[in-house]
Formats: sequence, structure tokens, C-alpha cells
Amino acid sequence: MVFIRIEGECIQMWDERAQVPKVAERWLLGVLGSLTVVISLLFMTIMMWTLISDHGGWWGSGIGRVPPTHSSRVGELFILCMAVTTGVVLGAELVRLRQRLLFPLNFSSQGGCAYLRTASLGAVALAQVLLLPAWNLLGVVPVGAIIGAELASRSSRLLKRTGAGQSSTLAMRRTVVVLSLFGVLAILRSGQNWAIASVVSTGMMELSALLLVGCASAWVVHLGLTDLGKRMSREVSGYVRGLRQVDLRNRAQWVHDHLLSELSLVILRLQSMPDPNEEAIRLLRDVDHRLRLAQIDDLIESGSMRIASLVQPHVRRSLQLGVEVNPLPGFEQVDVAVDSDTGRLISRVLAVLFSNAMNAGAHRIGLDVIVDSTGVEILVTDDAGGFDLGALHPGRGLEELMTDLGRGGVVREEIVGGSVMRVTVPRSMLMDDFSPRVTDVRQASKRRRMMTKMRSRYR
Amino acid sequence: MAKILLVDDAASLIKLFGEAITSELGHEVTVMNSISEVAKFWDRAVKLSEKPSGKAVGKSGMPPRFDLAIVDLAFPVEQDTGLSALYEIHHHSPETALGILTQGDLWTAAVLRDAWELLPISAVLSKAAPLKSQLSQIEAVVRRNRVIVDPSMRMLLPSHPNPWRTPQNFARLVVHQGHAKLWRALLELEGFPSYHEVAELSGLSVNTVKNYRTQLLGELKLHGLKDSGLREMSDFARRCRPFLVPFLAGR
Repeated sequence: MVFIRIEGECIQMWDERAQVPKVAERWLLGVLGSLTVVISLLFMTIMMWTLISDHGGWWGSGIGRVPPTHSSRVGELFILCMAVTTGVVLGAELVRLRQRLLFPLNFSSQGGCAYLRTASLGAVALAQVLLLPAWNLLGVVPVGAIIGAELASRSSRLLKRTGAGQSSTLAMRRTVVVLSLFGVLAILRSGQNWAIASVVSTGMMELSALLLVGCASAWVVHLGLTDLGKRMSREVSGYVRGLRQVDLRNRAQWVHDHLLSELSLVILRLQSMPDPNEEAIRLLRDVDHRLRLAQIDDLIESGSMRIASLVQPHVRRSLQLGVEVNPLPGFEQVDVAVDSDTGRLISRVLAVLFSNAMNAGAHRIGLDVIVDSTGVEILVTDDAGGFDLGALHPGRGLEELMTDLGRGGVVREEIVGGSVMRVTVPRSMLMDDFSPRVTDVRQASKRRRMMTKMRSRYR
Repeated sequence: MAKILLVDDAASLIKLFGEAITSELGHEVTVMNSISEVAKFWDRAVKLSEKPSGKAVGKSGMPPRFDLAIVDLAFPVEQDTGLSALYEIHHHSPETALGILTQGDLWTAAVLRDAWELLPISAVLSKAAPLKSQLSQIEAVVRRNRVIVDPSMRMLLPSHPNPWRTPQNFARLVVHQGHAKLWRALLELEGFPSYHEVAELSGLSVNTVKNYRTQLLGELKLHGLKDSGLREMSDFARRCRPFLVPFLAGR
């Protein structure tokens, strides 16, 4: 598991499972990383030196030439040292990466570079011990891979720490392209001088190969890091959004579990008294309603929610005040998830229409909710007489609603003794309902048949 | 006079409510304040009923029988919801009419729907309704055996029963041992589990966990979960624990 920690604008990633490393551990990791680079560079130097000494000096070397049979004791000693060093480094890498080796697809900045290092070191060891005398160029390939990967990894981290952001990607691309071109030119140039087989051509050949391989591995690592960075930023933003949602929901739940529960107790106590104070009960019910609306606001902020949850506080409030609410929409009509913006608007519409009807003295309120592809239509019927929609004072809730939704969005129809208010809320995004459909049942049956078949096959 | 069981963690509130039922309707009320108390009560009752001379369970040696059990759904300090208490009561005393007393908020809406679809619920009362209305609803259930749903709760309950959603159909969510491992991990992990955490606890690989989730999507849709991720599955498992656990034990 990759562990993420955000410090300012810098995202730190750790491949340790349990927790973020402590300061001492981070130092240790840093020292180990540096040590690996130093060892890699030392390795390359030693190898080059060995090549020269094994081939009887710089002037006598060349690709394809038969290597001299003479091998000095110093050279043998160095080869032995290299093999031992390779073994130690390889062992350390394997121990450190044992988790990653089990999940090779889980690529990370630490793991990716370490894979390359491990593979390179293994190849170097093999080349040194078995193949070097005849194929000295082969030794250059893993070294190039090591250096390229290290450079890409270090420079990417360095650029990230300095806050380079997008420019780091561009800089990396330019560097790699330029270096690659240089490498190709150098190879072509050294190829022309092949016949001469001078120290210059051989050296250039090896250096060019080193450069090209380095660039290639740097590019691979860079691509991996870029991809990882994108993935990590997506994960982090999702994580932060999730935390915010959880926080808002926890707050709303606290209101439900503690505050509203206590309020219910006080109201029940007042109701149980021999001579209940109706005014106090009414005021407390007002507080209860406002708390529920605040709770709904929090829930709307936390993400999508169902229309039923938006309607319920208003229905409950009307019933508490002795207003009959009939007809009501069925579960299937209001069990529809809406996004925050639509939810906020629906909540506002319901608050305005219900409070208008009750303030006008309605004894009965009817509610209907129609959801279709264009939006959500809310119809509130009341028996509170009529009013002129065109003569509303500015600043009234309904007037503001008409301003926001347009004249066509809020329509009043006259009925006997009352009116029907029809408000259409355009939906920015509506999710599907939860009711099982015929297709769901078919899919489930199909899956069930398939699994039964599989079970009988394995039995 | 009917025997009524009230289960709610708001001790003062439910005590007062019980007193109102006794004084206004004349019924005998027993109050319990936690789900574990309900479970212990039935365990003890069953054990004592198995003894030939069980004194604590009444003259007949049988567990006490309630005419109506009214249970709250939200128990924030407990792992389970009121659905577990309802299941326990129905399991041990199928003749007891089941009632729900809830505020009907967002997080109880899903449990309310589960209870409505999976158990024979006779009453859904709103905590916010006036006391007189609550008492008359209880009386209608006890005296006239009617199914009563508070108007503010109607919108939260499907108008037609879902024929595919039965306690027996939970078996289809645990087709083999791998599924059982997945559900067990989801029930054990707290908060919102990740694929890695589930994989680690269940001993399955991450890809296997993903495969199993995909395999169960069709069945989960029939339980009201659409495009359910691990979070929704985890919520579902915790909510419907009493219905799911019996099938996990057999795997």
C-alpha cells in the first residue's frame, strides 16, 4: 500500500505498510538511497577501469576484438569485489522490496527505480562474471539504466519539492529528447570511425550507448512517475472529498442522535404535563424544524441525496402543526438521488411553497413530485384561497424563486378554494432510482445460472 | 391490556413514552435500552424455558410473550441497528407484532426500508409526531391489528413489496466460501474499507475481491444497491448483519 502524506503543497509517498516513517527512518531511507547512487557510480568506475586493465590498456581495446588472455591479479580482485558488492546490494534490494516483488504491477517511485536498479545490478553481475571479456559493451547497458533511472527519480523529486509542477514534465521531456539526439549523433559519429578503432571511437561508442540507455530508462521512469503522480493526485482529491463528506454527515448525525433526541424528550415532557404549555411546545417544534433543515443543508453539501429526504421535514412540520398532508408522493416517485445543486434548489422550493401555504392558513396540503428527463416538477396544492402571483413584493421567497427559475418555472393554477403551485426545477444531474428493474432481475438470474454452472463444473 | 416492549437507547425519552402508554392506554410496558439487552433477554428466556421448573419466565415456563414490540432504529453507541433487535424479537416470538419508532432521517431511511421489506412490520411511528397521534396509532395496531404507517414515513417505504427481497434470498449473496470471506471482512472492518484492507483481512487477492464484488452486483441490485462500491457493500452488510450472518456460518 502506498501511504500518502500532504505537507503544504508537497505530496509524500511511502511504500511502507503500517505508518508514515518517523524522522529517523526518513533519514535512514535518504542515506540508503544516496548510498545506492554512490555504489552505482563507483561500480561504473570500477567496471570501466577493469575493462581497460583487462584489455591490456585503453589503446588496445575495441568492440569485437579478441580480448587478451592475460588477466592481472588486480583485475581479478576487482571483479571479485564487484560480484560481492553486487550480491550485497541485490540482497538488500530484495529484502527491502519483498512486498513489491509479490505485487510487481504496483509501480511506485520507490519501487519502480528499485526494480530497475535490482535488474541492472543483476545484469552487471552476470555480465562481469560470465560475459565481460568478449562483450564489454553489454556492461554499459545496465549501468546506463541505473544512472538514467536514478537521475529521473532524483530530478523528479527535486522538481516536485521546488514546486515546479507542470514545468517539471516539460523540462524532463526536453532534456531526454536533446540527450537522445546527442546519443544518436555520437553513435553515428563513432560508427564512421569504426575502422580506425581508436580509443576515441571506442570510448565514444561506449559513452553513447551509456547515454542512450540512460535516456531510455530515464524516460521509462519518468513516464511511470507522471502516471503515478496523476493517480496519486486523483486519490488524494477523492480522499479529501470523502473526509469532508464524512465530517458533514457526522455532524448531521450528531444533531440527530443528541440534539434532536434531547429536544424530543423536552417536548414529550411538556406534552405529558397535566396542563401542557402549547406555546412552549410550538416554539420548541420550530427549533426542531430549523435544526432539521440545517441538518439537510449539511447533507446536501456532503454530496448527493434523495428527494424523499428533502421532502420529509416539511411534511413532518405540517403534520405537527395540524395540517393534513394528502396526497403525498409514493416512495417510487421520490426515491431518486439528486446532486447537490438540484437538491439545494428543491429544498428551497419546498420550503417556500409549504411555508406560503401554511402562512396563508391552509388546512390541507397536497404534494406531488414528478421526475422526468427534463427536470423535477413539484406540485403543491392547498386550500388557503388564492393570490396574485404577479403582485408579489420583491424580497419574498416566491418572488426570488421566480427570478431564479424564470416566469415559466413557477406557475400558479386556480382551483376551488385554493391553488396549485407548479415549480419546475431543471436538473443538472439526476441519478437512477433504487427500485429493482426487470433488467436487474434478469442480470441477477443470468449471473446466478452462470455461477451454478461453474459450481457444478468444479464439483 | 396488552404487553408492549419498547426498545430505545434514549432512556429518559422512552421511559416517559412508556409511562404515557400505561397511563393513557392502560397497557403493560417493558423498556429496554440496548440491542444487547434484547439479545440477552431472549437468550435467558430460551435457556430458562428449556428447564422444566423455570421460575423467572412465568408460570407456564414459557418465555414472556409481547403483543407489540416498538423498536428505535438508531443506536449510535452500538455496532448493530434496530433491525437486529427486530430480527431477534421476530425470531424468538413470531406472534409479536413489530413496530418501529424513528425520526426517519437519512441514515435511518435505509434501515427502515430493510426492516419494512424483510420483516412483517405492523407500525412505523414518527418520533416527531404529537403524542396523541402516536398513542392512537399504537392503539390501532394493538386493538384492531391494523398496519399503521405515519404519513411522514410513507415516502420512505416502497408501496409494493419487493418479491426478490426475502431473508432466504440472502443465501444468494454467499454463493461460495470466497464470498463468505469477503462479507466477513466487510463486517469486521470499521469505517470505509479499501480493497487492500479487505484483501488483507480476508486473505484474498485484491483482484479476487474486485471479481467477487462484480459477481454480486446483480444480486445487490435486488437489495436496493445500485452500482455499489465497497463502501455501500460494507454499509449494507452492517445493516443487514442478522440476515447475512447465518449464511456465512454455513460456508
